[in-house]
Amino acid sequence: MSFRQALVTLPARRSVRIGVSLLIIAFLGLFWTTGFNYERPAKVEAASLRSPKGAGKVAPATLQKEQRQLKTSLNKKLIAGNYIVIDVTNNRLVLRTRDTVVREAKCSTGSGIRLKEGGEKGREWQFDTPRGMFRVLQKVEDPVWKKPDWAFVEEQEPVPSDPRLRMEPDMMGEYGLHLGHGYLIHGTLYERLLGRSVTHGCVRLGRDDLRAVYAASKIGTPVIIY
Amino acid sequence: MRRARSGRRSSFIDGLVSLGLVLALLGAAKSGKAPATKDKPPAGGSTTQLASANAQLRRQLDLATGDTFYYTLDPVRRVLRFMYQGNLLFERNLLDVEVGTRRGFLGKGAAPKDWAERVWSSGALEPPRESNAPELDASSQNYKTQRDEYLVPPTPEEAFPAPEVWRIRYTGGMAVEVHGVTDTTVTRPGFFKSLGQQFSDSMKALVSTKNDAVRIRLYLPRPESDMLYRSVPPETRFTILPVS
Repeated sequence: MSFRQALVTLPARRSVRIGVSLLIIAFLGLFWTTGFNYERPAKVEAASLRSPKGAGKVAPATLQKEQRQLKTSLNKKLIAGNYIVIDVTNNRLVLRTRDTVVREAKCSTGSGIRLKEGGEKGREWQFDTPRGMFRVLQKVEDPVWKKPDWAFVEEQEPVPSDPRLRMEPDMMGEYGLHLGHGYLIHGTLYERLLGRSVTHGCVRLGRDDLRAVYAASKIGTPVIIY
Repeated sequence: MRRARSGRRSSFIDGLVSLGLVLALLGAAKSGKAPATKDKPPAGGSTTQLASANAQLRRQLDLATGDTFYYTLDPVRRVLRFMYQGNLLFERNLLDVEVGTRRGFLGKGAAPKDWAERVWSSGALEPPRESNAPELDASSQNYKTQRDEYLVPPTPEEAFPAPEVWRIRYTGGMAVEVHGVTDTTVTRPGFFKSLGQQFSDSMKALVSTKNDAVRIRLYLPRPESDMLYRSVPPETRFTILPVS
């Protein structure tokens, strides 16, 4: 039988048709079971608000009391007033309240570089801006940079024993907001680098944005970094 | 006579299979889009509503306690919120939302019944963001050359290019899939592209161990989708919660 003859006669054979049909049904069955049912959004919302089993047996007064307690606990967690939100990957800072965005700004955050000292001491530093919740611990005008050891290691200079040799004024802009553990929100001489991850962990802002954020913050203002 | 009958039976079977094929293709490619109409409120009066509201508040409190960031999705209002300890960090209005649960075979691979009421945790970004930040040894001879290369680091867009489609996969089978849309007048894929996606999903389900039981598709303008991809912190949590 030639190929052309087979092409014409094979589909006519019942066994072939049944085999192909079964294959198609199996394939469709597989396709069906591995697929997704897409739900209506309102049905999804209703499912997310299902009441737990046995809810009907609890007295309404008990449920109302529980609701008041839950709301009180939740409200205690909400920040009253301004807070600062910093996105370290996109290098964006937002000053906001619970309902409103007050100001958005470009900033610079930690470069992620790991610096090794080498030699006998063998110290290492990781230049990341940490994630989490912080608070403004101190507000400073005309902050002076007290250079840490890594700043000398980075320049391949000897670390001075005289603390006066560590002081560098006019490097950090007009204002500084201390967040603890050596991290600050401060200004910069290098505004062209804002938007890039270039710092050693601190958060740098441009002059106008720094003025606005400094004026809107007080001791205890939350700073959330992600 | 026998040959005529068998001929008619064969044609009948062929016809059934063809009809089944067409129906299955139409059903598989169904986008599931429906107007955002409200379902009727649950029966049972105020006790049930109170219990339901309390369950929602307990979930909010559970999310607000602890040190992990989390997303909440309101699928009806199409709002995605990013939160920390009960406080809003940012909110995104979505172009569209699709919420899909896997059908499964004899219950295997199907979505858990309480998937919409749960808090999903241990989210992992897919594809992961790879950091290219270098290690510099200040004692090495070519240290200054290496350091000078990083005096002007890349922008976030250059350092972490975002794909058009990316996911956050949660332990237990939940995946939040974000689609960055360039043409915001058309959000969901058409019939043939949807069919192709379904076929691709089925093939992946056969060979991959990462099988989603629930898949939530979010559609955002491409720039916002890219920024969202870059900003996802490790270990995020996720739940469905209407905006109150």
